[in-house]
Amino acid sequence: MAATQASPHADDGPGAGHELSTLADFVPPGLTRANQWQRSWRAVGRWMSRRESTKARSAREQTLARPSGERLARWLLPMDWAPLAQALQQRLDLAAHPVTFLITPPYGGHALAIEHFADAEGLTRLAAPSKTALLSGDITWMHSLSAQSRWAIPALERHFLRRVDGLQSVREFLERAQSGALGSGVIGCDSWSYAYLQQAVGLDGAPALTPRALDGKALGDLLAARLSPHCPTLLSSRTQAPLLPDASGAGGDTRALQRLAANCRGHSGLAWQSFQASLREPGADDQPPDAVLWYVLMQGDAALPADADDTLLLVLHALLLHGGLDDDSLCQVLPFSRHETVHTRLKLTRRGVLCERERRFQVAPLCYTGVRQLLAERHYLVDAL
Amino acid sequence: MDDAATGQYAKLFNDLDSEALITLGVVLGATILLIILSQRGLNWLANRLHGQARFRTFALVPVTRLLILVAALVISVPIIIKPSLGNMIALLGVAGLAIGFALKDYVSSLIAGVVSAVEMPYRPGDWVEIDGVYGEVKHVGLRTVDVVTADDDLVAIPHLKLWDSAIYNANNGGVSLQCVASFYLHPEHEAEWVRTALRDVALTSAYLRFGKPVVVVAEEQPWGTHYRIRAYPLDPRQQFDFVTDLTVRSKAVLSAAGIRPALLPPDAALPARHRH
Repeated sequence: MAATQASPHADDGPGAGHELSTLADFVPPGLTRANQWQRSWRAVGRWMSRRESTKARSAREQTLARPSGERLARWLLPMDWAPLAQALQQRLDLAAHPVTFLITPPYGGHALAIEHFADAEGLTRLAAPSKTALLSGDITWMHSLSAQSRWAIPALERHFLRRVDGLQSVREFLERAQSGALGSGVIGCDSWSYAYLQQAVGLDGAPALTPRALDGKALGDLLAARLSPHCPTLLSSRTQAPLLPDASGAGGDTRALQRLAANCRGHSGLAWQSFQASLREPGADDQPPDAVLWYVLMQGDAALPADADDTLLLVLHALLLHGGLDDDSLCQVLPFSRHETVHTRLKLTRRGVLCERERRFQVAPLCYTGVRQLLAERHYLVDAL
Repeated sequence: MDDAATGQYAKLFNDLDSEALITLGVVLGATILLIILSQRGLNWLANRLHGQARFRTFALVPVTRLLILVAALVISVPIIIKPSLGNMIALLGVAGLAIGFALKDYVSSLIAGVVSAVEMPYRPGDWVEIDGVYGEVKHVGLRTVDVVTADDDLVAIPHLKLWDSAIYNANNGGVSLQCVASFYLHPEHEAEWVRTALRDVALTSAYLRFGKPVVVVAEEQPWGTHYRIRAYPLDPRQQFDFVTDLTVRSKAVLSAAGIRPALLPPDAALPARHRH
């Protein structure tokens, strides 16, 4: 069955779902501000009031299967970060500040948005240094810049490692950049790396922009725009009705969308990844393939051990601070033996807490909010988003 | 004379019939059970909590036990003794004599235990130094406080020390515990560079707790320069890992920069301690 959903806001401006605000003005959707006790209390309430329909739903969800990446690629359009770049173009005046940051959380697309922006504005794109250069604290990559340069760094987290030489090199670069000695530029940076550099180097004074948080409705519009014409009918497992609103904006499982937005702290990239990880198709013995696609709200928190030890948390934190790392680099930023580090990383990967992207390991989308909350509870430095 | 004394004695105590004995037995049994349950339950709960909640829950252990004991005494004493002013004075007088002569130190420790439950100079989870013993408080009992040292030795220290010994509490019921890593360098070096490098070592430590000051202190000595990094780990239990990490990486950075350690004369050697 072909898709019947249509994007209610497909013709919106380039900034739809990607409006920018300053980092200080970022406010996550309301549900995320509920503290752990409130969440636990709600969970107890849900457990107490568990009805037959819930049990039936759980049984039905057990029969569903995760679609292959190939099928997902046919049903879903890839996330487009050009609107974020356009929003940046509208908002940013390169001449006004020597440096401007675009901050997004993991999966937030700052690197691709900055690349789009650099192409559109004709900026010199500064590539990340090699691993050897990173380990030696080499800063020759910035020598090509002068006071007249106009440049862009898509992902600042790729330009340093949390080591003494890494900190010294990125500090020198940022100090020179903020003084205007390197001309004017725009820097894309992961929100965790930014939080770390803000503490370790000090980034006060440089404007920092970030996409506004999405609520359930805006997220529904964004998801609807990413469904390809080949996508089967998308139903919510909770209501057994369409997940997304129709062209007039009516219908849809607003509660599921709001919860997805809250679980992802209103971040579009994270929500997009979590949405894909939550899609299920009927099992082999059920309905024919391509008949219907189910959205099942997935909870990644279960993958996290409740008594997570220091080693495990330090590995997770190091990966977040660097926007994901390979094993070699991970061993360079942790005070453990290589064996211990890799063993812990493997354990987390097996549990589904980590996933591999572009040969780097990073926290899986479904586990991100749980990991962030756990780290915050244990007094680790967390991002502002 | 004898009859009068017997009459006075009889007035002090109630007749303990079978009902009174059963009540006393029930109170005793319930007290023991409640103490065991509260201690195990609160310890179980505290070990599953983190941060401030863990310390607060641990702190409830001795207070809860004290309350249970006081409640048991309040229930039991009127059953055994007629609650009149004269009887109470007589009872306290006798108890005071016994305490004064036989159990002076023991009772002093018990009373200090009561004081420690109220004043809280140490709580489970605190890192304290008492009479040269440094470690984590694991249990605050009625008479002693159990401290586990970094070498995993359990040391039972009587509360009696509370009266006349200085008690150093490194985190005082909180999660902030300052650590110090010391470095003794040859006098010929660029001090400003060393200070920045040592600060960067702290800022790149995986154990560092941000939001707390990171300070490098330098002190000139006849034999060279004594540097200290003062910073806070994420959790007090990480203090030895944190200091080790600072030490190992600082040595590597200083060595790579060609900075030599000071060669201390034997009489100038300082005790290697994590706190100063």
